[in-house]
Amino acid sequence: MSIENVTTVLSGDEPGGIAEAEASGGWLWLRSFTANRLAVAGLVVVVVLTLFSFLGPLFYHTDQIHTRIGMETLAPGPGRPLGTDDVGYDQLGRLMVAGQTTLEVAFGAAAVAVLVGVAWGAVAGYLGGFVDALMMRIVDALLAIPALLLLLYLATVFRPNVLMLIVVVGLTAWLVPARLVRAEALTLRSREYVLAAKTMGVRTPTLIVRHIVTNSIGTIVVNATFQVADAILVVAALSFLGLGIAPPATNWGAMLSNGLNYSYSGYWWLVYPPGIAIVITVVAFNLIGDGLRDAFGLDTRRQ
Amino acid sequence: MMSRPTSSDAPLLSLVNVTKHYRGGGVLSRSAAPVQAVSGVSLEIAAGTTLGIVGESGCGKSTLGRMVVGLEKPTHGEVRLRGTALAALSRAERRAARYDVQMMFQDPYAALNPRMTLARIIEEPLRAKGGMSRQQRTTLVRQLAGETGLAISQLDRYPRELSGGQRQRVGLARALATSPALIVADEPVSALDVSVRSQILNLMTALQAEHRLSYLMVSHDLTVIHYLADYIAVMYLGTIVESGPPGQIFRAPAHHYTRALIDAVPEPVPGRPGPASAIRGELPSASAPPSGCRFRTRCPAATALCAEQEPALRDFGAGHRAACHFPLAEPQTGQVAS
Amino acid sequence: MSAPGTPVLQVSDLDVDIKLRRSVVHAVQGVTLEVAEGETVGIVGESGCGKSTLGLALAGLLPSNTAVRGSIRLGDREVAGLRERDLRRVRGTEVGIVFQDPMTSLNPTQRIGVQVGEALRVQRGASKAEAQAAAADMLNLVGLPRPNEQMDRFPHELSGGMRQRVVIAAALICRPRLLIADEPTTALDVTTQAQILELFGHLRETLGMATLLITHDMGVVAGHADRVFVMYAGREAEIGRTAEIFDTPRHRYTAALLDSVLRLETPRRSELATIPGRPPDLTVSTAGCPFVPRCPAASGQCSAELPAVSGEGRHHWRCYHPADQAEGTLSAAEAPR
Repeated sequence: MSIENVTTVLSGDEPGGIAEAEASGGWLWLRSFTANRLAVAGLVVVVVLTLFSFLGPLFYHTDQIHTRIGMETLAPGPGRPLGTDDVGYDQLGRLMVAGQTTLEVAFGAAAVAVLVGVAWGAVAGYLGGFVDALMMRIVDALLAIPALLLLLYLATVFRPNVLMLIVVVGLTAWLVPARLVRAEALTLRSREYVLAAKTMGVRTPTLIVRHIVTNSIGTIVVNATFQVADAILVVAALSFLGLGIAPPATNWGAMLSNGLNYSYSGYWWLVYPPGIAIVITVVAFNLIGDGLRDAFGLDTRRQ
Repeated sequence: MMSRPTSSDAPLLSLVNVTKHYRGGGVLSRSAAPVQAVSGVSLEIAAGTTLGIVGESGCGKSTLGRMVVGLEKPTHGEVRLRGTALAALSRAERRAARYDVQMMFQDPYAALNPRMTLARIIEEPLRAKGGMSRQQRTTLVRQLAGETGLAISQLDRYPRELSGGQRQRVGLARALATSPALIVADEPVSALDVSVRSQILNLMTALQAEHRLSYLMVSHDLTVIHYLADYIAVMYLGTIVESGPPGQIFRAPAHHYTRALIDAVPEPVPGRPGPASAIRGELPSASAPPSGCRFRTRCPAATALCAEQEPALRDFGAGHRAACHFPLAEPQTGQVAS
Repeated sequence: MSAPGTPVLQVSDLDVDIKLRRSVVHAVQGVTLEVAEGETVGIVGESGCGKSTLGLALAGLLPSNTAVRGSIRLGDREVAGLRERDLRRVRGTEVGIVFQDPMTSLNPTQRIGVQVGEALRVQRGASKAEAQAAAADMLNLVGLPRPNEQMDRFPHELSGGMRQRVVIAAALICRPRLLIADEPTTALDVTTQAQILELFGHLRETLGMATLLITHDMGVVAGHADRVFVMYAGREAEIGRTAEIFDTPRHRYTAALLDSVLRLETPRRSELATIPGRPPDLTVSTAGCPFVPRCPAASGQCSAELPAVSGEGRHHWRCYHPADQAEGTLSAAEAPR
């Protein structure tokens, strides 16, 4: 028994004796995840920020539609914990509304990217041969196009709204999950349980979903969390370059971009709140992704 | 227990001159010699009997098993189910034929989807086949579990909680789900502990009697093949070198390779390491098999004739056949040569 | 050099615990074993019995989440509890190790000549030329055809059987007194297995090293071991000369195991003997004999207390109700030693 097999033996792959998996069913990863403090911290941060953005306005009413001339760039004080921005909006309220857009686009784009990417990659990897080669060359070609430039172009052509942003960002991001899932599919397609399904006449689409995708779920979920983080950064970048959603809608990136015009004027409340919000959200999702990766044992052991 | 059925019906399964060549090398490879995994194999299985295919790695037995089950298509030759060639069937008919031939896999740890409960695993072929209500499926699954020695309470568990032997039971239950006439068992007990092996073999024997099943048993383990098979075929480098009833083959093997295989089995009898291994050398490459008799490069009795002419399968009586220019027994009479 | 007559390996009361996240696996419990010079001892058992863990412990290759208690003496030197630095020295020179899978035991990016000679260079300070010459000699000894040509090959150019020969050569290059082989032929074809086992016998005659042959295959130990050590649930069940173990097994597990082994003589389609149940969970320590739940002869005494070692001559077992040689029935109670 080689050294690699030692870990297998000692972790419970031998019958009847050594039982590492005390949790029954498929929830071992959850225990592993909750034991990871950083990952849980990340999850808490995400939950808090989501509640802040979506439920906050119910408790803290501000007018985010009408500008208020004469109330611009007021420093934080009574009645305005984070001051006002350059057209008079309350900054704290703005942060919440912007958070809604940011998170919506980020989750939405990640969902699109994962759905499209997983489908593409699983089909390519499972079918193999010419189809696989063709599909992956398409991915390679698309990867060669700098996503940001493409997005800039699209943003100048169309008037972006939330839905459009979700679709556009998602459609530039699906390439990575496609590659990842295709790699998993290549490994899994020669597994005996997949062959068994073939012999029993399971139809290909069902087979792909039931056997290939479900056994790649670890990789997929981990990648999905990183997709969310990336989407936030992409939207922030787009807004930073002035190509975001039209006002009065906003997102953290737009707030940051706007605020940086005034950074030399010392209006720190226009810069730091959105900036910090972006940073801690991205870090939180990365921590969750790392935690999930460890929980699914993707780095060292394969399923 | 011969391969010749007494009725006038076609045998349950027959392989007629089946060949499987894989394209060798890649697009850029200069020497794209095909890998000759299986070459010109003809065999028959009658209903309710077991055909054992024995051979070492690279002999093509697993490929053969996969062709029978439909996972691979022969390059030449035919696989016939009840007389009808599978290739001649339409897609839909072939799908229907699939349910008559199912497979049991070697590695109990890879044969079951780790993310499905046992109930779902056993149920899957029924869902694919269709035509049953959920209730009917559940009932059948429970029945199959009982038949294969699994507790009903375990049906909600996941494979990781089971031992190797229990997983093989699940594999067997799954293979039985569509009431097949033939189960291809690819090394079904090789990965199991000795004491568990006997449990599974007992189970397989019992199920065979109960359901009038046929088995195509593929294994490198002679003791298992000898125990279970009614008829044995020995494969080497893609061809059948000897075939016949187990008693004949083991008592009086005609082919040198069969003799070597039998001699090499470590018998659990103390102090008898067996005669020194008579065969030398290494297995030749399947993309460049030796000319004439494929075994000649390792055979102690090889001569120039063996390199020139590939020996044909000759009859040694009572269904015993071997392909050798200088066999260890007399053809036609089956008596051992002096 | 130790005094002549000292056993090459002496294991006393060895315990190995493996620490998992929430539990501790008692992989090896109270194993006592001796290997004399030039002797081949087979360690047999089924999966989960601890034989591989025992092999790793004796080779000094246990991972860090393990705890070892007891004594392992190589010659007259205690090696249990040695630091990695010292263990490394022992491993190459006094103990050679051969694992199951020849594919992963060799570095695919190094030529085999280099790999075989490596231990000589590292442990004995041999020069490149000396190591090459010794490697060629060794490859010849293990039956690799045309060793001088093969020296420059890479592992992937060789077949499984050849690779295993290379692994054996590398393990023996420093002429260790003990060779530990963990399932050395399991991954090989049966004809190749026969060749490799023959090689072990030949090497034993030529080099005189002792061998610890760890395997689940009773047939392998029957033909190639002088003595056999049967393990169950981390513990010693029985030990004795090969003929004694096979002809007159005493421990109920040994008897049951031998009964269930499939042989060419087993009548076709007969009802095979099995051992009901499963091996026990090694995270739970039991006071009595671990085989109780599956034993046809178990009594209250068996569950209460682990049997002491009883035996005759060099044949020992831990069983209150050992199998009778003739019929496998209960014999008169054997007085423990």
